[in-house]
Amino acid sequence: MLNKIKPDSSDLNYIFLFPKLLAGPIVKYHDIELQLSHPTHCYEDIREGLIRFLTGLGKKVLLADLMSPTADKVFSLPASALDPASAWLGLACFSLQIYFDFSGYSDMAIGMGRILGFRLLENFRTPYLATSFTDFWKRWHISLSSWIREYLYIPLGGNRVSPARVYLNLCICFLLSGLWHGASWNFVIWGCFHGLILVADRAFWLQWQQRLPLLANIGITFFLVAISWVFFRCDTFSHALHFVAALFGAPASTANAVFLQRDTLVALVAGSTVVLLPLIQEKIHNPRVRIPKVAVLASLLVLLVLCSGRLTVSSFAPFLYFRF
Amino acid sequence: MQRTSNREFIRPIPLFPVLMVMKFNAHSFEKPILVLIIACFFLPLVLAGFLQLFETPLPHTQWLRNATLQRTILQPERLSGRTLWSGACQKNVADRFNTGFAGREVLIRLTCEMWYRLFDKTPLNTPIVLGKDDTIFNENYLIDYCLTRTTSSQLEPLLRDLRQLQEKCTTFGIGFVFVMTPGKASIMSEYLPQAWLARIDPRPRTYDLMVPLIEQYGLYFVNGHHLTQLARAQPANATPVV
Repeated sequence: MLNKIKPDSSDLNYIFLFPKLLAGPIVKYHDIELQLSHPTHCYEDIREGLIRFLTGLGKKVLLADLMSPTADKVFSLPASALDPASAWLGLACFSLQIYFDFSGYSDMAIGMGRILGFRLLENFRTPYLATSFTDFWKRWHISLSSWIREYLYIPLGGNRVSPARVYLNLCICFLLSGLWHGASWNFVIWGCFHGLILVADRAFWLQWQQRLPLLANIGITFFLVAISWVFFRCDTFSHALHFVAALFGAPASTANAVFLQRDTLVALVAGSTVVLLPLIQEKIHNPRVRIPKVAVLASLLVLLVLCSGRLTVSSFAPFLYFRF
Repeated sequence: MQRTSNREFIRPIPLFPVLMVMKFNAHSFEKPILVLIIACFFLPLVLAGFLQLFETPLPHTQWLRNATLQRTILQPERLSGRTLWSGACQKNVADRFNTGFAGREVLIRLTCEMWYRLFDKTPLNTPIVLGKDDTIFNENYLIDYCLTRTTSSQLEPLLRDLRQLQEKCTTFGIGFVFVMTPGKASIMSEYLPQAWLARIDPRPRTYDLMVPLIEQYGLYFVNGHHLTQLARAQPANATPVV
């Protein structure tokens, strides 16, 4: 692939393309090569870019940042103070926080790119509605999973090797995907967890799950993904084990100061609605009903004022994925 | 105008005139709203820059300063190679914008008001919670009063240390008194918000465990909580009921 590309001025444009400079989506050169050499602006790009940018800003400021205090409080509790209710509350908050934080950032990057005339690839496609882990990785951080598939999984042999070798390749890819997030045993275990579940998907689960209803498959996948977030979020492996034990009923020996406050409840309900919205839209889809763009823009204007207000009163809250 | 494929591009055209000049199939209200959104992004920056140009507010800009409630103005950092290299100049510009952009105080008031009405607390990192009769409490004090509980065995090491400190001070001829001051939530517990009252842990509070232990360890001690309660019991010092 590399020997087909001739160096020119668009290389620097690619390196310094600021919507993707600091964190995902991972943009491969050959995906935007043509756009770099022929930049363009049009009205639709600006409108759609602004809509996308403001949607991402809302996800980050009004959803992810509202859930983060509860998630942080629960994950900083000592093992002795962690009871099942607090643990589930913290896990629900963190699962939604990480999704809205990262997909919000991706939306802002894609929107900003679009305003400048670039069409960056999608990074999220309703991942919490995935029906299996295989499906989840086609929807979550798509640019990372496609990068790993292209530069690691396929060179290792891809699907054109024996089943045992395919399983090994999957484990290697996800182990390295875990390490990509950070040099810690937690990320290794998180990667192995995902790799092993993908192996189970290939071995038997994708056949078995066809007998289950759609909602059950979505529920099972979300449950397993949420459990894997415990290893992703906890600072140490022993903390993660205590957390998992608390999720499944290990009682707390001392009291803690965590309970579901009204702002967190509103954020959880709003976040769950946003997550489930595509499913609801699919059920009640009516092609004759279309929300006019002017209504979308007007609601985004209100959203911008709300986000600006919230940003003005709160302190610095960096994106979670800036750590990786 | 749509791109028909990735390989066909329209001729590059200037960014902002596009909004007003080009005729597309957009609704006639679409463009004014889009301009408003862009104005929301850039107007505070432009206005703040305009207002900060004048160290002494000009009479004809005062209405703008009042309208945007722009009061906080930081002194500008001197522009030099050293301040640019260290980043102090850039940081100063960012801080000046963050703390002094036009409309900041309006936004803060609007947001805090909305948060109070919706959630009975501020959106700050350490929230201020609204109690009965508009009494305000720092959330940390509410957590201490309503939820945080400890045991005598956890407190004893602290008291042993205090006892040792008292003995050392006495040896050196220094007076030592342990003063326990009450939190607002414990003094004005009748004004606690209902959501927190419903969650009070019935087990003894740290204060309840601490007092007998202090007496047991023989510490010189001022019980601020007790004194405050006594003072409040007198009609002249009672909290007025609205």
